[in-house]
Amino acid sequence: MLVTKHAAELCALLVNDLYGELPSRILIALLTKGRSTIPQLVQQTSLNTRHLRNGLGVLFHQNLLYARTEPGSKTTTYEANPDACYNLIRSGKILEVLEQRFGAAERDLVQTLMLLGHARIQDLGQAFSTRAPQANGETNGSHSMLIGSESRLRSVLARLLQAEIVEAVRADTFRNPAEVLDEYKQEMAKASPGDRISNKDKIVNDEKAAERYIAFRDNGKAIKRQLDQTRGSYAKRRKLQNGHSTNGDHIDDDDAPHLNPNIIVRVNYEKCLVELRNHRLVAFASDSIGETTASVYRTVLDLATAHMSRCRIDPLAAVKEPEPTPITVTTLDIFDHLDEGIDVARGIGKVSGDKIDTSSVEKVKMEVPQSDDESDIESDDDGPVPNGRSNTRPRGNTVQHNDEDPFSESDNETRTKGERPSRVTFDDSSTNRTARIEQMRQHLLLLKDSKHRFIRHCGTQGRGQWTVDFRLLMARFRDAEMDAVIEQSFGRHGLRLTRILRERGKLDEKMLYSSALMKKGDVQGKMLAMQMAGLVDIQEVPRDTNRLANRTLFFWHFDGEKTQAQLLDDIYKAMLRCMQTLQVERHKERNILSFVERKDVQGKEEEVMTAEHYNKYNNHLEVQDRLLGQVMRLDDMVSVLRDF
Amino acid sequence: MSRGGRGGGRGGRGGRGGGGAGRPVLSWDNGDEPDARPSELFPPYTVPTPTALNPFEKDAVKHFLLLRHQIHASSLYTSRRTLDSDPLAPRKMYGQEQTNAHYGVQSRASQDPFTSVPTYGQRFVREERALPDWSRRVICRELFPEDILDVIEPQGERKKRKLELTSVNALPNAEQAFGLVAHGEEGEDGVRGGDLLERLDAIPHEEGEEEELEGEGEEEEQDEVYDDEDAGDYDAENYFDNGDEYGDDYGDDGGDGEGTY
Repeated sequence: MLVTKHAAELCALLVNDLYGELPSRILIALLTKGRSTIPQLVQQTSLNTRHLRNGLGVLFHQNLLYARTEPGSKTTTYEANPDACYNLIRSGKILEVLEQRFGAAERDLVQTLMLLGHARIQDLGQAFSTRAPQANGETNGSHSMLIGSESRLRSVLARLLQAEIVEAVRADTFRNPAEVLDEYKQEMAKASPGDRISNKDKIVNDEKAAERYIAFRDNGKAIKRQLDQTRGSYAKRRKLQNGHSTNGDHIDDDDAPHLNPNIIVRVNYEKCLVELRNHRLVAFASDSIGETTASVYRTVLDLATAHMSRCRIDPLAAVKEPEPTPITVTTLDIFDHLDEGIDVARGIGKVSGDKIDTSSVEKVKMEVPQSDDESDIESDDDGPVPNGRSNTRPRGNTVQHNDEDPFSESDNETRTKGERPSRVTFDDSSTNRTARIEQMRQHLLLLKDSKHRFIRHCGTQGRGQWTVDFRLLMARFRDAEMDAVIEQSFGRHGLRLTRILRERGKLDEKMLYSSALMKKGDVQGKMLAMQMAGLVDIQEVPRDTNRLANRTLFFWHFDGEKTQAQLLDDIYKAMLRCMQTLQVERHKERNILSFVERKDVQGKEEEVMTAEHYNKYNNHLEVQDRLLGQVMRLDDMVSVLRDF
Repeated sequence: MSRGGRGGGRGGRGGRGGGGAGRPVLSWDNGDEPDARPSELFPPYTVPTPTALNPFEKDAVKHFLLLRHQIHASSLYTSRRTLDSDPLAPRKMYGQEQTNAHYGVQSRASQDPFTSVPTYGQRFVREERALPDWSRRVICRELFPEDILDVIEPQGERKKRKLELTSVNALPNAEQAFGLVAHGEEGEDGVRGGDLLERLDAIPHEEGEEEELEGEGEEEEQDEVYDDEDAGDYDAENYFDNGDEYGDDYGDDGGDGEGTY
């Protein structure tokens, strides 16, 4: 994460909001001054060492710091971990996704871990088993769902460990990974003989260092591998359970595995991001195709990402780590994992056979497509699709799908099937297995043929193999997100001009307005406005050595990466402003808020318990919800642009 | 709204109408004078309103707030100015000293004399910590660097601490805080709170009732102290009513002692 001014302020404000002023103050100093030791921090913050140590202790306890003690000396240098600080804002979403995916008990455990930062399994077991029963949240009415015994804790924890949501922590987990890699590289360089290192040696060394780094990084997953061996992998277990787990995935307490009580665990945000990405994609599929298709997609994604521990390749290990081989899942596999409650007959249309080009529908693409442009141009004319739920969708028909187009022409008999599936399925008893598989395949084909190309048909074994090209899919997603922003701020024409530039590269002005079919003046006005916003820029190419203005070519160009970086900073700023507004709101209502936060509402109740105050408090809660909701939506964009 | 840098740029380029020939002919020059008028200070702007939160987002916000609430209730939370300093005050700061001066504004020296008199109700306000309280936290010693370890868990006192789960498991909502929920629907704490409120509402002025509800020996003692003081409490309205009397007294005495002046 590139820490801009606004990102740093946002991190500090988040920490201030959650953990209080002291840690936040130290964090600002660490973010602005870089890694420092305690004496350096004393100078920068003019806090005394006792305060500093306490504040650093809080930050460290919540995993918000990198710390490094040189083996020889006693001094420790501290460095802020901006990603971890930023992830604080995602905690709400992560908890919700985990609750949907795993259940309330898992959510409860992860929430406890977020609260504690990290904890020893032994302590957790002791705490959960002695938890007073009435504290178990009878307000939710879900007493039985929560963890009440140590064996239950172990089985829940094992499940999360196997899903990589929770990882083990060791002392060197708190080192900056970039620094670790550097150290390995230096060691390699020292070890290699000779004064001068040839280029080839250097590459080999780098690879070796990256290899060691990967080993270092995946050290925390050793416990997962161990569990996988003794209990069978997570995906398999899910498959076995699927039959008898309609209401909340309960694992019987008796199969609680033995976990080393001395292991310290914490939440692994990288894997949580994978889950968030799945959720986001499913929501997007639900918006653009339909709910049933989305739930099929959910199953595909769950299977495809079961062993994926991060969204993107770790840039530090990129030398050694190859592009991950795409994970393929077969139709039968998907079918076995599909929730039986889903009526797959819904949401698909039926068209007479002669109107479907079967060969192209069933076409198998074995290779990962290299880029977007070559494969289909026909779907490029649709407008951008922003977040998927915002109200700025340019045209109503983006939801419509190619396959569904024949509806308009097809006669009424064929339509009934699509519109009232339940009645029809009841009649011709298509709930049997083969028909269900066939219907599910239709959903998969829908996903494949969508203009977003959610999945790729990559083989024919097991009634068809499917894979998800995450890199390309997310690149399309990013482009769509950027298009939406450009359209919001510069209108349709601005979007058109940038898209032309993106497609054609650098363009002379004359070429630009002739290909955009716009007036010269309009183009100039728009381009200048966009240049001022930093979206497009001019490159000057002199025709001769004199560099006269009329002997120079001027090319407009659009820099996607720069725009993206700038957009990210703008989003950080917007998030920061939302949080600051929230602070102002809290300050305005501070009397009521402090009243509510009192241990016991007493003494002032006559003056306070009026309808006026009640309404004020309720309004404040609503404002707070909306502001935080907005921050989380902005975070969705950040995730798409930066993390997914 | 900042207007820096606008409109000033090309102001000096006067004699343009006359001598078009002197300038090079450029492809983008369409002969129009650039619009150098100052832009409107507050241009019309349609404020976009976000759509309502969907259920997923609502739940996510709720989880976040609950987590925040739990963290605030934990012993590591430190707050000294969050609600007290004015966020609307100018926040531009130059240099480290100003930034540092911005913090720690709430001290004995900056107390507001009108609100700092301790009141009974303040006993229930959550105490503000300047430093986190580590005494009830379980620490994984091997993870922490040496130099902060002796602050969070001094070597001397290495008694076994027990990890405690948070007792907060629901957000305070308006109904609960103001005691408007029907009794059957509430959790343990809520029922007690609501009950308490209701009873207090019915008999608002009898201190004895409160003591009973309190049920804690130590606090009862405290209450008695307060009760004793009730009679002799500072009473602004009546304080100076007697002033005349005192004055008279003094005057009487003064009559005798006038000779001393």
